[in-house]
Amino acid sequence: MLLGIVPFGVITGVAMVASGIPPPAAMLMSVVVFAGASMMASAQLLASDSPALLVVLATLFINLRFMMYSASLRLHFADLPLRWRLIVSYLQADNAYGLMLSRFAEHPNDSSKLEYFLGAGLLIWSVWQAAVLAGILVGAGVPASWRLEFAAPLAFIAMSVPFLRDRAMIAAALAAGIVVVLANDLPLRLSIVAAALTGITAGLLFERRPA
Amino acid sequence: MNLWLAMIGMAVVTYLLRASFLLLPPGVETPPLLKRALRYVPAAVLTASGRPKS
Repeated sequence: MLLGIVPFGVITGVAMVASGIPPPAAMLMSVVVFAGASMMASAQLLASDSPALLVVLATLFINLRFMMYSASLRLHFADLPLRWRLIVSYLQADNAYGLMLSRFAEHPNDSSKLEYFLGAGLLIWSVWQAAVLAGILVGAGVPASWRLEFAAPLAFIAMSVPFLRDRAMIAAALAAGIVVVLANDLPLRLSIVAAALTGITAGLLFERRPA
Repeated sequence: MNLWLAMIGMAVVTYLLRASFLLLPPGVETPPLLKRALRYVPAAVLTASGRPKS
């Protein structure tokens, strides 16, 4: 599981530096944002001189999934003191969430849920930051002529595959993929927003309704 | 300057999304449609973001 984080972290670090973000700023971004997919997309947007507002909007969309994690973590952590909920919030990551869900499904009444989440979360956080740092150092040493922009689309494809588990998910991904290509000419990369909204709607439409 | 504004905005937005439901007072229910729609966010958004720059 941790092995999956390393290549993605390295690619994110390389992509940020390759798009012109200074290495110290890239590392700072990794610590304060701590969300790889959105950092990679933002790096692409910043490289094409997009305004900050658009970068933040793209981040909002890409990281909407954390709201889903937050809603489901609430079932386990709603009664904790505020300071722990604030820490749990920061440590949310795709892998930590996935690990935790499978663990809590097997042991629903586990009394050490918080300890488990914090342990997994901190480990993932450390491995991730180390991988990004390695990517930033590698990226800073690579000549510009190597053109590493292809890394980001490849990484996004790799990230979306694990979600394609059922009919509705595949419909969501297909619809989003088709619309993002068709809407390519929209200004300000609104194609991504249009594609995401169409994809979510398609997912809802293709759900198997309970009989 | 644009980079710093973007970074601050990204950090705030991302943290608020993560904290959202964890900060709600106990007893507040998530609307079912929102719950269902949130399921499809990763597949749709990651696919859309994978488009290469043109």
